[in-house]
Amino acid sequence: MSNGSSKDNADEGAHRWSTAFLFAGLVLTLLILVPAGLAVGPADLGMTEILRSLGGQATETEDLILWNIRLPRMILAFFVGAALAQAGVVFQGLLTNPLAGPYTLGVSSGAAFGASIAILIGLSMWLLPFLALAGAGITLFLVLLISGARKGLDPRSMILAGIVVGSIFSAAISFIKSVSGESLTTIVFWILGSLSGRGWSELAIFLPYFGIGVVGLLVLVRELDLLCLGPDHAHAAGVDVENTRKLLVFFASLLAAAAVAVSGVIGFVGLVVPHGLRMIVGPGHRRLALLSILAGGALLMGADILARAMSFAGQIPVGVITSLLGGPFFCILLIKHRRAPSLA
Amino acid sequence: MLTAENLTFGYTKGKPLLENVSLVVPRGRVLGILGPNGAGKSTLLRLLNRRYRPWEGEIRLDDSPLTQFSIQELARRMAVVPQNPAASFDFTVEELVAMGRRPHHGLTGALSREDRNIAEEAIERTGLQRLRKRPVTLLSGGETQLAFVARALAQQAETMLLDEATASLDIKHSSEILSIIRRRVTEEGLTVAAVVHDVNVALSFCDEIVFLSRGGTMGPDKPEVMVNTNTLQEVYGVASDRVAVYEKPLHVRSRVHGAPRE
Repeated sequence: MSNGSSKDNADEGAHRWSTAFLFAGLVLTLLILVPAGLAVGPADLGMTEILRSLGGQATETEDLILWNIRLPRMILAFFVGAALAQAGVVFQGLLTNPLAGPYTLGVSSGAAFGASIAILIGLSMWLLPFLALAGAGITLFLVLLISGARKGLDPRSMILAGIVVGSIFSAAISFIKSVSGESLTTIVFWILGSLSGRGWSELAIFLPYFGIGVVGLLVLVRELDLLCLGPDHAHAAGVDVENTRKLLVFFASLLAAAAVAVSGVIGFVGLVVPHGLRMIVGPGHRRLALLSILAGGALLMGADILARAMSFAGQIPVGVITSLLGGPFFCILLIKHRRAPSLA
Repeated sequence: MLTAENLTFGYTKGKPLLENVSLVVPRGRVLGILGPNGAGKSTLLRLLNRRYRPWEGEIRLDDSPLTQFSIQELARRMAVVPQNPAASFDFTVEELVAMGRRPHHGLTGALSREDRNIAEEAIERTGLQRLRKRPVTLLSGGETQLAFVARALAQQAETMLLDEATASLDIKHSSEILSIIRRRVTEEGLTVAAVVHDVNVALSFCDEIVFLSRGGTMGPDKPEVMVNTNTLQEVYGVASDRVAVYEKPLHVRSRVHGAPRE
């Protein structure tokens, strides 16, 4: 609900205030994260070097590290986080279940399986997203088939099916890993989810998918408000249920698969961000979708900076950080809200 | 006016649930659809709302085939109040009612001032002003149903389908909802097709009644013509010595009482 004007709209005002407040807070966070992201890393380059480089007085190596390694990695972290959070908003809305997400539905594992095959047979980087997408597509097909989606999407069986299919694909990835030998480390990093070594080219691969996915979702996402009342309601209120659902699943999977293709499986961002935002600004999906871009982006940027700051302990994949942070956070949410009707 | 002719439909091939179902709801009238559990009443409403397409037969809305309308166009002409609506996620009453404006939106989905006024009016008509900020998940069954009625009213459709809209509600909420809808019928010529579980509710609320039971339809006709011990036996399979139909005991219409078997 935007532009309401009557005086007795105190609560709605509060809602919108918290939306605006949150928006400002997220923008501010991003403004802090950008220099932090440039200043943190294994090479000892801090604010002084950044300022020097901006003044054109840094060494070539310093310039290279700052603008060709750290900057693109940071931007990629933002967009991947945004994509995962968006996909989470859509899956949670479609299944009216806060446990749904690209990870719990097996989409991420399926995409990672496709990516692993691509790595195994040594395909070019540009083809990787296609295989990831194919993997995600096959997973979704299987999940829908197993959960009997012809009679309508049943969240519980879909999540169960997603976990099962996801596990099978994870096992298949481990199998590929065992037989592949040489490409082993690459695949390991894939599964844990990492942004290390990703640069402008990964960003270039990712952005078109991100653009298509986000634009598609922002157009359709308002229908989720009605869709989560149930298909009959949505239809009666003028939503083309079947096609809208298909498109939403497609765009959300596209985002998740593309994210996996460039950064591996990064868990919890797609689960925690939409859930946390819904608690603050309410369930309206347009609001959620917009804010989740900023929040998901900021979260993954932050997590990646943390991963880099801890690089004294060796290479830490960012997926490990998001799971370490997101897991407990999600547990707290579950405990705090286990009696809440919205989780019933 | 809503008409259905010789509808046949089922969920499994070769096993029709509805066969040769026909009905007419004239403009500004309330048609009650009655029948035993599992007779396909809710399914019939889904057909009337084009949620599913009939295998055979045709449905017409104001003389145009239903298939001619896009889903959105149809939603501007026809609203549905569902059975035991459950709200997932805690949308507020106000947000829920505003969703009724969906079929009138453009691509952006932004609510205009007019949308807001109409939603506001629907909230007032259903007496939900006090609860407008309350999440639907925290409402009682009766309040939830009122909120969904308000949502349907906000849709500003000329035809409304009710799927046991008052089942499981207490007497206050039940009569409240029925009178709100009745008022729209009298004042604005709303056309209503209502699946009704309770024969007594049908007797007091509907202008005409059609019985749906395995094998097709009976009626439609006036409630006092349709409801008697013979038809009840035929449709519901209840022995005629187990029900009594009282003629106008409360100066309203007939009442029906079922008695438990000894």
